[in-house]
Amino acid sequence: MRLLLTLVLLITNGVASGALAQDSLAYIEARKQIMKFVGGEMRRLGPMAQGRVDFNADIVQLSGQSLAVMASSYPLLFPPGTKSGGRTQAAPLIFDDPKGFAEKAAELRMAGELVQQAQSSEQFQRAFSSLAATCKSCHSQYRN
Amino acid sequence: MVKGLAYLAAIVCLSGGGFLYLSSMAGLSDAELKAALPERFVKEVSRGELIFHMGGCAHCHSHSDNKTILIGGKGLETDFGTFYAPNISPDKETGIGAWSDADFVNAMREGISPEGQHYYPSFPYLSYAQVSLTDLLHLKAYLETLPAAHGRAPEHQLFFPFNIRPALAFWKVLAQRDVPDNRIDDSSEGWERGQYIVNGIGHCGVCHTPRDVFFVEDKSRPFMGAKALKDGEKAAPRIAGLDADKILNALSEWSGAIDERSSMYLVTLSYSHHVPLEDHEAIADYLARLEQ
Repeated sequence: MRLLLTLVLLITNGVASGALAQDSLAYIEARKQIMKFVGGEMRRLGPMAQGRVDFNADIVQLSGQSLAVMASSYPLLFPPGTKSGGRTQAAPLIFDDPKGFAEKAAELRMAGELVQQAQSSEQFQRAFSSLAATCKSCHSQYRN
Repeated sequence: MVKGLAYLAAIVCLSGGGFLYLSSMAGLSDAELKAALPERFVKEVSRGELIFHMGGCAHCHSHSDNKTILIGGKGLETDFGTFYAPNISPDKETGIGAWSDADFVNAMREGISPEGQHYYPSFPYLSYAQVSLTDLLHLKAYLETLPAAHGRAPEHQLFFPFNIRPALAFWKVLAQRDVPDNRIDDSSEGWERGQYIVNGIGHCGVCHTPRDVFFVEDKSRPFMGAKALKDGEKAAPRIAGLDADKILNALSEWSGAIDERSSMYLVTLSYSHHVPLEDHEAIADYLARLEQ
């Protein structure tokens, strides 16, 4: 729970300061932090899905929930005017096709929720593989 | 710039005479190797398999989707020309199936073929010189279990003067000065295990450590990031002194940190699927400790 709170603060801070300053760099930094966090969660879950680490329902629930929360923030993180700057890897397509991107974010959110609800190792493995596929397909379209 | 200076060095070396080449380093004999091994040493295929994946051998030596057919032939384009990885499958005629243990060790550690020819450093033997003899022989045992594939890779296509193989003798004299001696402990744990993997079989410095004017890894700036081997391609980033988390993400397919189009991605896949997580942590611990 503490973790989740940190996340929410992280997002709102990043976005709020970005909005206030109208500074695309603040958005880009917030995006990078969030993606890094998401990457860390995926790294935790991956070995479990692979069977190299024992299934742990608590971790799966928390990570799945965190990922769903993060995913729901995605459409807010790429307002017009934050297309370039810093070391952003956001593909221009995000800004040209915000609707498509929002759909991807929604897919990720659902995939996160499925992971969150997994009660057994088998359920988790199924949910995780669709989660990983969602990450991948979005990266291939929307990340440079 | 680097290429220009390396040119100059190659020409100076060549005009210096070939005598050094003739007295080229001979490597170990089978008897010397046996004496250097622990008593009652037995090769273990499973340990060899781990070493194989840590080294990413298949990334260069296979060139189909089947990563166990090590027929070679994949090209590595550089500013010096294109190198082609050779066949290292157990085929007796075109692969390494007829090699003795000492042949294998001499190739891996000294960069010398069984015929006494020098290998180009596109085969990173300066790193492999820091792998224990026992791990190298475990690796050989694993390679022997893979399918024999018949076929020769193309000859390297290099620009003058880099195509003059004997000149490598001089480069090796320069490059081998800084390589630590061969008494290596492969049983260490924690960050020392990371050091063993990163500097040895992982050969991370080949891409991530900048090179000096002689194209030798600059050991005063280890893992500080380096330009690509081919002009215009993406540089390898600094990996010294990073957050451990960042390094762990780079070794995990699922973190999304490494793009599928990156040349690092194959490394990420090998480590995600075949290398224990404790080893990931050891690597991250070691690299994180290094100064930026």
